[in-house]
Amino acid sequence: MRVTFLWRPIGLLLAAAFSCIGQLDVPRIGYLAEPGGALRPLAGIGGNFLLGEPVAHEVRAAVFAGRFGLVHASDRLVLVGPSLEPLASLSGLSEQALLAVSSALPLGVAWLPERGELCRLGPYRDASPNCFPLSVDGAVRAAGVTSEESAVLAVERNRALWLMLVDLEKRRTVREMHLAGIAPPVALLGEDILFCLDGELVVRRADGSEIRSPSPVAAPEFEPVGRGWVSLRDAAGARWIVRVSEERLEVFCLAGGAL
Amino acid sequence: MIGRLTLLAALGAAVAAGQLQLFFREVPGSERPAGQALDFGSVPSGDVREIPLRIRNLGDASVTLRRFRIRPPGSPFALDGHPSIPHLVAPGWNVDFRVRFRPPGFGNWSAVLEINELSFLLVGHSPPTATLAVEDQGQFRPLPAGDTVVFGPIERAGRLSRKFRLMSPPEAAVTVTAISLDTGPFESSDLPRMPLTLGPGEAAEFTITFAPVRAGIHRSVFRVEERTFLLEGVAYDPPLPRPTILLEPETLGSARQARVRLTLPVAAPASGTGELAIEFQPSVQPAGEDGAILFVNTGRRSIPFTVREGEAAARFGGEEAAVLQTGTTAGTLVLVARLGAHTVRHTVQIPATPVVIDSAAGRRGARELEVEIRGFDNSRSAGELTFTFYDTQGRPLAGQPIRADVSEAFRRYFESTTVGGMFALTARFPVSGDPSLVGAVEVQFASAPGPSAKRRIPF
Repeated sequence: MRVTFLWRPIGLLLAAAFSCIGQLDVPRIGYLAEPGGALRPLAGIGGNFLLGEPVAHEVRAAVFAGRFGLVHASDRLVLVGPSLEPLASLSGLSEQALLAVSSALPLGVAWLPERGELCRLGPYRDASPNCFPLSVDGAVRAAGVTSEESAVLAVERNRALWLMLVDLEKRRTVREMHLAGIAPPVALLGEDILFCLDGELVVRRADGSEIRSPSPVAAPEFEPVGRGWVSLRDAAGARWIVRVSEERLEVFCLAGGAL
Repeated sequence: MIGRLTLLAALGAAVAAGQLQLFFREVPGSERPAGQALDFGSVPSGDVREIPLRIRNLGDASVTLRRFRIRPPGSPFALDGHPSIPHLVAPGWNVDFRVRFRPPGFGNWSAVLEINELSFLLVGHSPPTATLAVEDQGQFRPLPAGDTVVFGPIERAGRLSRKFRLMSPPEAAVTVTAISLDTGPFESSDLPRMPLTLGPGEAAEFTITFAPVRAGIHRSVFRVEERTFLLEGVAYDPPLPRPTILLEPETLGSARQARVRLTLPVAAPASGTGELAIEFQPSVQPAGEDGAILFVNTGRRSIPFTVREGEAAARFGGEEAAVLQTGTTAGTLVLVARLGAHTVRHTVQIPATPVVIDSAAGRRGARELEVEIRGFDNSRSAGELTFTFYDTQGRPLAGQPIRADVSEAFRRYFESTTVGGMFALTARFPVSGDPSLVGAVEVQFASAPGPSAKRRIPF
């Protein structure tokens, strides 16, 4: 339950301070899509997590970051807000889709490999989703959103991984760079890249700096579940969750393991 | 004792009654008239042979059965399933029964079956045969064919032997041509060689050993020529050793994920299953529900485990350790392992601590500053919250710190949630000046265990 309260601070903030508004709530992380298709809310702090009862079913894939999420359920792709309220949707999507959502903006993108299209979902501009064909040489392994106008795709080609920067306004690739020393699977977290290398989870920043932590699994499936939180799953179904912060990577166990 | 034929002279006429007739019962629905003599053939001493019979009223009037017996009393022939007399048999109706022949020794045997005025000669022969006996409390007890000898119960992988004896009758020599023991958990290394000739009163002893390799009820068959004897053994798994609960780390605090192992002092002599459970007693009020105290492997406060024979540690699914979350409530956490007859408890205190800030973020708006703090208060006693704002040069702003009493808000929040002491606090500060001049805020909680660590949050 959310508790809202007011208090009158003792003293002044800057030139003037008025009654401040405080709000206490469950520390919500985001939502997690289970292999069986259930979408479950995830709450918690480092080392202490709670998975709630499913709030949706027949979910094929979902990504959450911050206040927004992109959910592929049945044949619909839905951009949702903090309370899972639909902000934009795309129907008739029966094929696989690679999803990404912005951690700051109500903006999601979906790569449709069978159509070779990139779709942009947002509540602004026009009501209809914005899908356009995009020429990609290779197999797209991950998608990300870096700004209101740009998305990134991690593309595997000739056993190498490339990062394609796509201008969503111009509807074309504007830059491509080789991701040296990175192999799939990867997750694109804004401008950060999360991957696994030599038994370690690695986050490579846009400036090339890296932070590392031992990985509990060699080739995990990544699923962004909240801002700074990424779920890892191994082939047996065991699950972990990684917190990506400025300073470090932290890995925790998450309920719903292989037992 | 040879030739014990009791020939009764006064056999009545088979059809003297006129209405009653004796039949052999054969397959269901089929009967065959019996003669005056019923021959049971050759039956080894100790064995049993039965003949199913039927007495039918063929007349037009009811007949009351007033006599239904075998004479002399104590003969090796016996009635079974016969009616109590008097018994009325309506015209066309019948009464089914059996006569059983169990010769106590070799020789020829006879008796008379009397049904009202009808009499039938019962004859049988028992050839000289070796008697099988089993040692029971220091004495050898003869075994009728088909009898069952019980071994055990014993622990699996144990051995239990019983002595057997083949005895010839005192009056005759016998030759046993074949004995055999079916393969299985029963074995014998000293069965007599065949053929075995035993003089009058002689005996040969041997041992049969029950050596089960798995728990359960085991059966086998021991044969002496045509006669069969059942061997039945019961084996149970040996008791599992008492497990020990190991925690890594040994001391715990709130919001921790710890590994739990179960070890055994010796390798398990058998496989088994058990359960490890968490019991939690909060030491604070209002404690509320703390749904995060659980095993992450199962999402519950219990987890099954298995112990494999030959291993000295339990397995949780495929893992050697279970992972538990300690939650965010101070109290006593008890791990309870149940394995076989053992219940083992391991108690860990989760001490009350100052409020812990797990993460925090600051955001500038056009006319406000927003601070989000995530953490836990495992003592449920958060009281005062202190904010100290700094400018972009790291200097405290005027009028600092700002203090707020949040005890009532936290009390209401904790009473309404099931997430233990976890919270996400969002505070918004309206700003009339330029928010970009504010560089950071330092936050500190006060609670009963003491002040929290200060956390400086940049904007």
